[in-house]
Amino acid sequence: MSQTIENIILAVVTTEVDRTAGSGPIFIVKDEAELQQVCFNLENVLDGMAHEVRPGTMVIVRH
Amino acid sequence: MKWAWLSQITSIPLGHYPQMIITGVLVGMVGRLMMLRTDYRQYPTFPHGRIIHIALGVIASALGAIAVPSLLKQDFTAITFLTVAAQQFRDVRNMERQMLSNVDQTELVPRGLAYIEGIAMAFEGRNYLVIAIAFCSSFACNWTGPVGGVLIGGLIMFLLMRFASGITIDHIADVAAASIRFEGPLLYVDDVVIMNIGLKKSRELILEHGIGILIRPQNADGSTTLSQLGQRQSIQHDLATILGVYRDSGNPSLVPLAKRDLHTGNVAVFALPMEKNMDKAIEIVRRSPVLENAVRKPLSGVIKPKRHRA
Repeated sequence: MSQTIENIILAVVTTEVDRTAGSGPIFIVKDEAELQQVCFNLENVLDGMAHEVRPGTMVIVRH
Repeated sequence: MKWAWLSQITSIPLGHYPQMIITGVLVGMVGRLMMLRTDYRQYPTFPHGRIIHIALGVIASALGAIAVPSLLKQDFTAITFLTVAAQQFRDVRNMERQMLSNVDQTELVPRGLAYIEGIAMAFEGRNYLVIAIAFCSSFACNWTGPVGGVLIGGLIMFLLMRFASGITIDHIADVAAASIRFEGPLLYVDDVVIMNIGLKKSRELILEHGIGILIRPQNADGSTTLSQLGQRQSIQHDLATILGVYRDSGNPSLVPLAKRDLHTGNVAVFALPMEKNMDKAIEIVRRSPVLENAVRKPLSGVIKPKRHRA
């Protein structure tokens, strides 16, 4: 039996170090290009979707 | 006597009962076969799904046909075996439901539970229709002979099948093309927000391959029916079956969705077909079935809503 976690923030990817905190995995990236690349990788790995919370910060959620 | 040999073998005075039973079973079977159309949905599956339903159809029509002689012989208790039949066919519904739910997990665009329930219900219901057809045909055969039995059975078949066929989306709503666009990360179809897409690559793919369709319900009945999530999922499934879908497992951002305009009750459908053909897509939505389980008729109530079309 495999279990998947749905509708939970699986990871946060951000360029804004000082405006992001919390318990889950947080990936700090240097610019927009890296943000896109990291999110693309995480989307594929986690089979989740990247949502833009605000410019510079994305969350990965599986639906 | 044509059937004398049969009564000799069994040493029971059968009269014209075999004739009635054979006519009833045959007409019932024709009815089941006519209701067993495997179209683009490929359901029931070929060949085994079909074999199962043909076999059950034989049982159903035999039950219907045999009920008449037992009534005529005043064996009234014999009618209780119809309850066994009812139990049997309820199992058909469970079987269909279970199988479709299992398969649904492996679909790129699932049918959705409401669609599955609808299919399961149709398969149970059709067996009862076959019983009714076989019963009427056998009954008519008692007085008019096999030809009359076939004619009456055919007429009943025609009436029941017309009665049992459901309506399609174009009966309750107008379907039109709609634009898709992004505002920041938000994907819009017409003025309805569909979802938040973070990746720029996905946004480009969506603008390239996606299409938008707006379903405008004709009245409050339609808007309540279309608000059912299963109803929307079944439309997506039909679209994906016919036009294909531009996605694979592990592409979670390329997901076709349908959302509601909260003010008007319009439903905005966002689809990702492999073949980007707007006219075909609109026609598919128009022809896709209104699910029996989704139908609501607030306008038939005592207190009527005052919602009009936008």
